[in-house]
Amino acid sequence: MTRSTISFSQLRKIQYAKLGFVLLVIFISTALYAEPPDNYPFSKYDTGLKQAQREHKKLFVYFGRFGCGFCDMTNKQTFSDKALRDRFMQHYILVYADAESGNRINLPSGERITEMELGARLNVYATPVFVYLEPDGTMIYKAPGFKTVKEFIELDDYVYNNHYKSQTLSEYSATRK
Amino acid sequence: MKLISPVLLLCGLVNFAWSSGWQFTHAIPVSTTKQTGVFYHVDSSGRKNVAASATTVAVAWEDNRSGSAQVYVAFKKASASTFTAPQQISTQADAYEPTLVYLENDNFIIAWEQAGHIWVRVANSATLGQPLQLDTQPSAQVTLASSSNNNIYAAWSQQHGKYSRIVTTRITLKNTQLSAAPLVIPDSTTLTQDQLYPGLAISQDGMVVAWEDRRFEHTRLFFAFSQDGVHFSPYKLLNEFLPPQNPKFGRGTGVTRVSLATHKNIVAATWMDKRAFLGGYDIYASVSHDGGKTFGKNELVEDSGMENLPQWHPAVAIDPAGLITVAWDDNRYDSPDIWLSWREPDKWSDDTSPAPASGDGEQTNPAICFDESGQMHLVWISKQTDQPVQLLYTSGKPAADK
Repeated sequence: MTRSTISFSQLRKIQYAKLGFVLLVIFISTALYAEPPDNYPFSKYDTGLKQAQREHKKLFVYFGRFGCGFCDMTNKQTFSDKALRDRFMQHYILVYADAESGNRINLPSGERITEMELGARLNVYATPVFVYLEPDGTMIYKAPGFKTVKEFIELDDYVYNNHYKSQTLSEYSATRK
Repeated sequence: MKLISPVLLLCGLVNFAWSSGWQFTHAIPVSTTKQTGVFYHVDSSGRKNVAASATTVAVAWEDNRSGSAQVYVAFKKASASTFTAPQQISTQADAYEPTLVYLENDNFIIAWEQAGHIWVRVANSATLGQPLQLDTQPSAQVTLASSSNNNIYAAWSQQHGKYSRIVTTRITLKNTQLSAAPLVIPDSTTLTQDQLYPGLAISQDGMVVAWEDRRFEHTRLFFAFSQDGVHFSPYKLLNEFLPPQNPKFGRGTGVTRVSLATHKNIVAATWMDKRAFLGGYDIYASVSHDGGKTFGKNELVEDSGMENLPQWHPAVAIDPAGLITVAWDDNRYDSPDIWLSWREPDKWSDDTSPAPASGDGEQTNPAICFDESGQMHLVWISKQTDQPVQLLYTSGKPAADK
């Protein structure tokens, strides 16, 4: 049996390779920072609105911002839940809007605005903000800040099952306890 | 009532409205097209949508009156009470975010984005020059600056591989023909994220360009100075921010949409800043007294206490006496109004809302400039309930200058 030996220079190359791999992982993770969560079919607002009207579904609009830490936290800790993902995908047309971006969207009125302007009109100013809309774009409920899976499930029951038509969220929450 | 009526009558005769020390003319439409389904936009990078010579005001905007997004300009002589009919500047494909500056001999230079490229042309109330494409790759977010000795520069965000970077060029007008110098890259470091939404100013000592930069995985505002318009200083940070105490708060709070204005060697920058992030964007400014080589500390422009509600669309201009004025909109009184604040020796003034640009309905998206006499020209988007959108204009002066 021969025993393989590694020279100092080879060892250093391996260490550099490991370091390179770690840096690559860091680069990839930072490049994805505060983007919409993976594996969710998020679309632009105008596309989503048309789809919502076609399919008679409510909209779930996720307002994020480049560099927004709580957006990243929500992506990692909450949107990674498979059951929640299935629920979102069944119940809503999913829209992502970058609250700092100049991405253009066309409203049903014919007006062209940007995703930032959409945020301004919906009074979105601290990201993340999660907005539930009727298929015609009418506001149902606006939920600012980080949300846990449990909080999103409660919001989903409130919105999807139309409890918002007769109760405030706090009234509805009280009935669940 | 008997006492008030003559006063109101007098106000109507002189056609002025007072706003906390400023005197403004009554609002007039820039374009008389007031039609349901037609939407005006005044949203250029740097928010330079109005410019003025000693005798003429010009306004550039985008609207969809033709069924597609196109760019228009209209002019108003100082002695006239209305604007000329809009001239379409763009051609065919959808066009967005026009910006303009005054050059000389009543000529204005207008730049815009069309079909993903940057175009420029010269216009006055009588003639329109040929359009010239400025970029070499898909581009957006163009802004312009001109100086008293007729230097014109443009800056925009141009695709460079996966990301976009800020580029600039010098524009020359000769016998109604525009030409552009080779593109200059103010910050040539390797791109790892986008550079967006430039602001541009030409001071006595040179040119300064500021932009949104995402390389640190959140948006920061950078600026670079050039004495000759070709060689730029290394970029410097414009906005101040505290490192996040907790990674949950991200890598930094948001800043966006920087605008620059200049007078002699004063350069003023204003932008939206979310350092008090729970209340949305606030309006911040910073001033350079060395032509844009360095900027002073960041200053909160709006009234203290307004940080709990968001401010939007800041624009900045400097009058011939060096008075720096910032305009923006916010909805502190339920619906959005236009607000102004100007920089006094030791602080920013109390916010004031020009009477023609406040009150019922939504008044948003201001753009401002000063002419040689110190008259401010203000345009904005006005929307009243169940009424078509309008692009309105007023002009005014600080009362002290009456």
